[in-house]
Amino acid sequence: MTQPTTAKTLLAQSLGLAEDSIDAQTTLSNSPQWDSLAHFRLILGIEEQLGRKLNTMETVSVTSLDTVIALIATD
Amino acid sequence: MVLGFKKKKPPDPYLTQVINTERFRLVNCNRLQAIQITMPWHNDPEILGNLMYSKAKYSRREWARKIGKPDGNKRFYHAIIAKDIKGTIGTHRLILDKSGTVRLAIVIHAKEWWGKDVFAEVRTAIMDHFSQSPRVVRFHGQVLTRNIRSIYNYQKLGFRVIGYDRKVWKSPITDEYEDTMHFEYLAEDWRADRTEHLT
Repeated sequence: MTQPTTAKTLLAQSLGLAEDSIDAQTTLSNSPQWDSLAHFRLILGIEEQLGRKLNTMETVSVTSLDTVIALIATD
Repeated sequence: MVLGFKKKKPPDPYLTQVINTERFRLVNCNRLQAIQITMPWHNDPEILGNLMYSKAKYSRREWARKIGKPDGNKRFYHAIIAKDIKGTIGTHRLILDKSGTVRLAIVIHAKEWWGKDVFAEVRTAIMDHFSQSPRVVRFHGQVLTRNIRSIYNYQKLGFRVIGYDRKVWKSPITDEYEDTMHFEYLAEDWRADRTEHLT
């Protein structure tokens, strides 16, 4: 799976949405489904995908689809 | 040399007002009330850990000392009272220092209210109220890096990350050192952003 697809899948699963409803406009501040529990699931999902814990600055960077793609790409 | 007692400042009449939100009443507490409303979590290791206390549980006597002296001037404990059940579900604490920085903390001890947006509703109302005071310049929050839900809550409200501390707190449960993050929101920015949001 490519990085954007992986990120989209992770985000969709965490937010409980269909993958095709996730796009670049899906952010922490404008998506009603992106609540604290969804955020928790997303962080754990990213850590599982990377096989390591996120560091401090990585944790706060997770605010949109683009940032999830970037995080997965860095590894 | 003349020795004298430091005169205690009286409660701030504006800052101690009751704050109403859609679902909650936020009532400023005196010392005894603060001890009472925080008693449900004085020996809850999970909550104490998230607030970076140095022990995993406290005796009642230790806890009373730990609460300090909420004076309605520099130290505030608000009971979060749910209007529908007329009961206290949590506590909001603020410490206002001389330079106008307010240090924030919140505990929702009634776990059935977790995930119901209590943080956003309470914190927004508190910041709306406190940001109107000329004594308040800046809001500040410190959160453990592993406390993902709190980090989310600060980010969702629009707080900026201003830095982090490495290995600043030693967990009394795991004996491991943990990192924390610092969040900030200037009162003037909050007022401007809220005005923009409401118009």
